[in-house]
Amino acid sequence: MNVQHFAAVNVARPYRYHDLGQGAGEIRGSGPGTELITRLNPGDWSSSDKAAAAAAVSSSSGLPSSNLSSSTLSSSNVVAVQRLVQGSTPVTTAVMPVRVPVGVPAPGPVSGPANSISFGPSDFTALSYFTSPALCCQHQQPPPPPPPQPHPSSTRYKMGSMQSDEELATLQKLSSEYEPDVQGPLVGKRQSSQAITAEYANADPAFVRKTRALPQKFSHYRTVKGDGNCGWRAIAFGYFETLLRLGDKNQIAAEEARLKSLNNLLNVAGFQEHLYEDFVEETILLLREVASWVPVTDDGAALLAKFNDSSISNAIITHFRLLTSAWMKTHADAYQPFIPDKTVEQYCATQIEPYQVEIEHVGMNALIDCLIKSAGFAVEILYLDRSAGEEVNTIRFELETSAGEAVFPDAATMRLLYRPGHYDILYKVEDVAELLSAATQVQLVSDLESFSPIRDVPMASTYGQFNPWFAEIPGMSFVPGVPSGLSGLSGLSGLTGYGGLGSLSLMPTSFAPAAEPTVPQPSMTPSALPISPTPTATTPSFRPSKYEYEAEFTPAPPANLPCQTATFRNSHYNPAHFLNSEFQPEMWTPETEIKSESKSPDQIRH
Amino acid sequence: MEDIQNTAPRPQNMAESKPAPATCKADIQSVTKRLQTELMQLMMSSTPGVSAFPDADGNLLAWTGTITGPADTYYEGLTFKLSFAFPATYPYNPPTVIFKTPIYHPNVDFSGRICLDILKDKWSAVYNVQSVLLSLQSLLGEPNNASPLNGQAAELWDKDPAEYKRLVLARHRDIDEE
Repeated sequence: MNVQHFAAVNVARPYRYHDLGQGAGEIRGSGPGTELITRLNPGDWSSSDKAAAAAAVSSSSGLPSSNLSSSTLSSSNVVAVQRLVQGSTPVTTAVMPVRVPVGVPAPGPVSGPANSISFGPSDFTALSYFTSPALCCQHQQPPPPPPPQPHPSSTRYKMGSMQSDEELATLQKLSSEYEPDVQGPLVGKRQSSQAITAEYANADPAFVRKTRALPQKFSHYRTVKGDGNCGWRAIAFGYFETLLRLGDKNQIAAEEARLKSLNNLLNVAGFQEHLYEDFVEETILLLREVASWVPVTDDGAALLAKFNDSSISNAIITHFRLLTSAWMKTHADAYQPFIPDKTVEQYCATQIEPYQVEIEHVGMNALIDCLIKSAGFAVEILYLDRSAGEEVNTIRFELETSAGEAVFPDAATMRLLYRPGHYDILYKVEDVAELLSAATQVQLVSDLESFSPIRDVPMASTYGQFNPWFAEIPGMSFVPGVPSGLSGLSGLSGLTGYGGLGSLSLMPTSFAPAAEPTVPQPSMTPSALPISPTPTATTPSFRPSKYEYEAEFTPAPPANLPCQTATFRNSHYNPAHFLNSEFQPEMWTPETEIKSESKSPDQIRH
Repeated sequence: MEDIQNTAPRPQNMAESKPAPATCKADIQSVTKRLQTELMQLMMSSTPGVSAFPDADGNLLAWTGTITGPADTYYEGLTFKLSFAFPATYPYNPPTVIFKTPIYHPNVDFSGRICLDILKDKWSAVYNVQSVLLSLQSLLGEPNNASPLNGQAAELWDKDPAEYKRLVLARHRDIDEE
């Protein structure tokens, strides 16, 4: 029985009642809990809040608020747009009018990223006023923004005001029976890690410092529901996502074989096959599906959907729990020292196997040892706490030799953000770009290199410059490998995005006036469109390497290649147009003359 | 300040609360599938002394189980009926198991509620109806007298076997005869 337990109760009760929309009058019990409940009575603030929320949404979007929630854009797109906006070169304006309404929040200190993230229960901020961030485990999704002032003292003050043992017992009972009514998806969409900074903007200085440094290294994060399984779900999701990101079907097949062979481990640990086979089956099925999704064309949306199907997600978690338990039992010597008061068997029975029991550090170690390290992956856990330092502390788990050297120094790494009691998933920008368009980028590079006449023109720096963004810009979906659905907003926005990209990063700015990119009008004849209207979304049966064309890949038109200067492109020394499958000699047609007089496509002119 | 922070999430919450019924449906399906499998296994591998079957009303989420008292215990020769209520989250959460037959036992209260770790915090998805029944059967012979629901029974268990036996028999009634 400790102080934290009470704080949990104090948070828990009002939270639940508030969600039910009940007033304080219906709340049972007495004592400090009730006091808090009363203070948090939704009637005190909710109506003004709702109005403010509506105002915030409509002001930031300029559209009906339903547009905001029903938007098919992932938050990564929003981030891309934000970057475009922030780095506003004049030419990016072509992008903005279309993109901004969908998710870019109105500028402002608090309403920045906060508007575009999906918080769980909205009343957390109020509740967290009374709790310390260290208590966050089961009570929220995502963990509550820490309070504006350091809290343990205020929490203790509340405790001190308690009177009788009876109240203590009542609260203890409520606490142990309480099941948090956590909202939100099991695994959230990937969103900008700026949101974390915003969340902690008013918190303890240590948090402010560390969360400010966070987005510089980790561009995105993904929430995991705080239902007591978050650590397990985060690792499980990261495992599948990493496999998907690497996109190696052979490796996925190898993992399937390895996981099947781990059934022996389960047998050794005394689990009965007919009881665990259902859970194993879900894992294997998902592995096979992951293999079928390679190369990635949907930014992992299918995987996310699978993980938000509770029956699949929970079965996989249970499988991994059982594996971890079996692993710990069969490697008891390695883990017993970390479990002072129990045997490994007891620990597994109470802390590993039961569903909805949060993973602890020992369990995390065992899970990583059993599942992740053997897959050749590494895990970095970033501890966001109030310890000294400018950045979050990072601990890396990977396969090591006995001398302590990494076996695979460049192992694929999944990253978890740990806030006491809760895990979320973090991404570096390259992870995101890789997942979004592993195939696409590679194809473009080889595409560029295939143009022998222009091969010697330095292009690396330009490419590197647009590389991280490139994938997140919807207009780029004309490249095979990116789903056509991503560009499904409207033809116009896609094309506009394309034009913006071309002018922003593919073209040296100094040439911008001369090389004004042509923004094709929908009315133009298809042959004049620089964008091939037929994306070739084919999955060849065998692709020995991802650095290879897909079978039916048609190179994108070289219209806006980064290495062309206007002078060179327009000179008769440039034979690039012969490589353009869309190339057509200039022909006089009256319609074209009339419709595109002002902007005749100079990329097909000699 | 709180107001400002609270504004943003609200519309999103409403949007996200919609898919809930769909997941519930999927849960029920997976529970049903799992229970059907368990039923098959129970019927195929008739374990002596325990049995269970779904209630007659066609609801697979409610079962009635039967255990017979193990030999060389106070409960030898007696049969006990239990009700199983499976949550939609089964097997991730334990079923609610209650003694229907009145029983005098340190870890069962007079309403039939049972104090058994695997039905509470030690429950895991690899337990099933059969393992619960077997655990309960062994609980009859080996009670956990350290945390009793029925304090008198826990005291008498070692002290006064004769009186204990008398109370067991006095309390036991076959509910089918009612």
